[in-house]
Order: sequence, then C-alpha cells, then structure tokens
Amino acid sequence: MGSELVRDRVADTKTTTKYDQGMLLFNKLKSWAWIIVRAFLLIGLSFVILYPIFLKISIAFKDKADIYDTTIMYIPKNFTLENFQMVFETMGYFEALWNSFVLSGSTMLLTTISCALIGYGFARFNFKGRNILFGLVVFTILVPPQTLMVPTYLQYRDFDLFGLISLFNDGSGIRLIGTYWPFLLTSATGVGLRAGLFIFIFRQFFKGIPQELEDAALVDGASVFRTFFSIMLPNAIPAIITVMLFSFVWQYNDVYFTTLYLDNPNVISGKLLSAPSTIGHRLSAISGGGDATDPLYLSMLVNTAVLLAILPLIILYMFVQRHFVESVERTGIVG
Amino acid sequence: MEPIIKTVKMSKHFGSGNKKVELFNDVDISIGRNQLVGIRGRSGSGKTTLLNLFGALDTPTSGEIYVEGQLLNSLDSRQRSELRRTKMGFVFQSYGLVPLMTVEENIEFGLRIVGIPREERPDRIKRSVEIVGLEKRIHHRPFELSGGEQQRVAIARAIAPGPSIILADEPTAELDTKTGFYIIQAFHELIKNTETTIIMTSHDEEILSLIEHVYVLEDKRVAYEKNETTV
Repeated sequence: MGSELVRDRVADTKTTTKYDQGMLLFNKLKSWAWIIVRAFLLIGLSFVILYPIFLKISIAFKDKADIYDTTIMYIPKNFTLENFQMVFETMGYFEALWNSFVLSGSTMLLTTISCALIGYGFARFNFKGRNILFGLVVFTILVPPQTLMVPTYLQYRDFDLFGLISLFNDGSGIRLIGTYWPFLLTSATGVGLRAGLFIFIFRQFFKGIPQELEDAALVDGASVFRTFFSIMLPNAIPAIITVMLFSFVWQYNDVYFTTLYLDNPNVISGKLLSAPSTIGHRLSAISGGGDATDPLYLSMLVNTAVLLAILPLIILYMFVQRHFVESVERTGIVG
Repeated sequence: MEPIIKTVKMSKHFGSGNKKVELFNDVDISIGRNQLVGIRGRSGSGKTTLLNLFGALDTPTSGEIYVEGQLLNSLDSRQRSELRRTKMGFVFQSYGLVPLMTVEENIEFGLRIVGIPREERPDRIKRSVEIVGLEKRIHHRPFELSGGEQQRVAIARAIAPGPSIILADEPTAELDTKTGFYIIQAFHELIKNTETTIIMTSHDEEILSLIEHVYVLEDKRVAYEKNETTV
C-alpha cells in the first residue's frame, strides 16, 4: 500500500517534470524565436536606413572607369578621391559649409531663445487674448510659408518698421534680400522656420513643470526673469536640445527660404540644389564644350555631392545622438 | 499692336549721396504681345530689379511703366496687388511648392487664390499640366520630383489662371543645360498655344541663344538683340 503510494507519487512527479521540461523547451524556443524575429526586424530597418548611405559611399570612391565595369557591384577596383576633389572645387564646399554652419547656428540660437521666452509666456501667464494669440501660433504651423512668397519677398526687399526707416533713408526701406538679416530677424522674433512648432514644444514642456517650483522661487524673492533663467530653463534642457537640433537641421536642409532671401545662396542646401547644373557646366567646359558629358559620370559626381552635403549632419549626429534620443523621448515629439 | 509692356524714360536708382547706385537711366523699351523675351546681364546688373518693375513689385525712381496700356505709377498698392493677381504669373528661382500637396493640388491652390470658380479648375489644371508635359506626375508630391520637374510644376501653377504676362526670374539657374532646354521648350509651347507673354532673366548664354527677343542690360541702358532661332 505505502510503497504503491510512493510509486504513484514518483510517477506523478515524473510526469510533472516531463511537462515542465516541455514548457521549458517551449519557452526557450519562444525566446529564441523572438530573438530571431527581433534581429530580423532590426537588421531590416537598419538596412533600409544604411543601404543608401553605403551605396553613396561606394559610388563616391569609384573611378570613372569603374562605371562600365560589370564585374563591380559595390567595392570599386580603382579607389580614387578624384570625385571628392572635383566636387570640393565646383561646389566651393568649405566656404558653403562654413556659411551653412554660421547661418544654421545663429538662427538656432536665436530661435531657441525667442521661442523659449514665448512658450514660457503662453504656459504660465494669464493675460487677455492668450488663447487667441496661441491659436494664431498654431495657425502659423498650419499655413504653409509657400503661400506667402511674394509678400515675404516684398517685406525684406523693402524692409521697414512702422515707416521709421524710410524717414531716415530717403523714403524707402532697406534692401535685406541677399543678406542673412531676414533669417536673423525672423528667428529673433520667433517667426522663423517652423517657430510655431518650437513655441508649442516649449509651452507644453513648461506646462509640465510643477507650479510649486515657481512658487518656491517667488517666496524666495526671485523676479520673473530670475525664475525663468534659474529655475525653468535648467529644467527645460531636454526641450531646449530638441528645439536646437531640429532648428539647426531644418535650417541646414532648407531650400525654400535660402533661395527666396539670398540672391546667390552660398550655403550647402543651395549649392546642392544647383550641383547638377554647375558640375555639368564644369564637365562640358573640361571636355571642350558640346553636349558630350557622360550622364552616368555626372550622376556619380552629383551623388558624391549629396554624400558630402549630408556628411556633416551624420558626424554631428554621432556626437549628439544620446541627447537627441533622450530629449525626444522626454518631450514626446516624434519626427 | 499695342505693346504689353512699355517704359518711358524709366530710371531706377538706389541709395543716395556717395552710395548712390544708378541701375537704369532713361530706359525706353516696349515689349510686344505673345513673345518669349529674355533679359541678359551680369549678376548685379539689375535683371531682377527690371523684372520687379514690370511686375509692379517695385517702383521706378522716375519715368513711366505701362502694362497693357495702364500706367503703373498711378496705382496704389491694392490696385497693384489686384493687377499682379489677375494679369501676372510669377516663377521664382525658389519653386515655392507646398510640400504636403500633390502637383494637382499645388496648381489648384494657385487657382483658388486667384478666385477661379471650382468648376473651371479641373480643365485648367489639365491644360497647364499638358503644356509643361507632366501628365504622369500629377499625383506626385514635390519631393518625389526632380528639380526640373518641380520648376515645371511652378510654371504650370503660374500659367493655370491664364495670366497675360509671366515673369520668370532665373527659372533655369538651378537646372543642368538639358533640363533648362526643356523649360525653354515648354515656354515656346506656351506662347504658341496661348496669348501669354513670357519675360525671363538668365545669365546662361546657351539658354538665351534659344530665345528670339533678348534685352541686354549694359551701362545703365537696355539694348535689344534679335536672335535667329530655329526652335
């Protein structure tokens, strides 16, 4: 009797262990499957993003002779830096890059400062017409700047402030087209490139900071500006970084305003836009005129120009990537 | 026939005193209807300013400008805007296409601003897209198009309301020579099929050699040159 019971029990435990082993195997398989699927997804996504860049790099180092060699897919037989040299010279690369950085850097700083102040005002101060004003800010996000092309152009071709400038300037405003002033003025006054969105970001972020912090500052005798600079701004670093990065990159990439405000946009985005034209002209000048330019060679050079144009951003991204991911997470802004 | 644009002793100066810059002095030109007209000059010679003067975007220092027989000097800014909206189409170096709208929507948007009734819009869109040869791209968005195609959309948007004058500032500046030729071809198509006059600036000799009527800016004067074109 007793021994039977024991046997039963043993059998029982045996079956349970068998069952457990099955479970264990299943779980193991499941986790492996998940790892494989995940790896597959990640590799696939990375491929989609990295493939064009690798392709560009591979083409940029190819020699002219490699274009028609059918045995070459990705790795060129004759490594050459000729493409880079050619593009550097025709684009005036370093000068354009310097200009781009000066322009994007200065508008980035001004936009961040002005939008932070405006956003703080909307988040914390109750004044008449606040909602209407904020509605107008949202309106600037909705209305595409392309619809205001001629007025924008006229505004800065004959720039005036309540008729004051023309009083001292023989009845006409100042011509700001062809200078960086339109960029600086718009970003300093919070109406620059996508400033509406940045104001929105700051407003949301400041609204999320507890009121008690400010109350404490007030009790300690801080003025409004003191509170803003010593309490609010240090807490808003994620929002600041997000705005700075976006405003820099968008200004760097922008073609619409640079071609509208500048007669001869000597910045990377403008130079890239005219790259097919300038490089084509250069090639036909080298070959001694005529329409004998090889379109494949031209596209190879244009490709190199594109790589050189995005390279600074890629390098920049490597350094700020950590802040970027963190700050975008915390401000809840995507894309 | 009455010229579409006529200037009488038109001068344009900038600044005053030591910094005074005289762009034009006593310019008399008249531009005939239904022509493709090119304006040539070095950079800084005042091509854009001349185009702005024609487009009522700028006023001359002295002298008169007539557009379709109407004296521009006498118009106030509201009337100028009205004139620009109803009679003129602008094509800038900057294409100014709304990135979120398709080709069709971009053109319709231009028509809506001019106040063309809804029923007429599809036909006009179709016609203008045909002239610039972009029938297959009508549902694409600007970033899916090449530079030349984007410029052609900008041209289609400018011609869709049926303006009597199209002012194009360096429409081929950012395009390679071949694409630039296509644009000129589209312009030739346009003056053949419609009543429009097209005035464009360029610094590209090859492009200008395809245009019959060319005005050259030199020494504060505007000289006329006639090209023998085969296009």
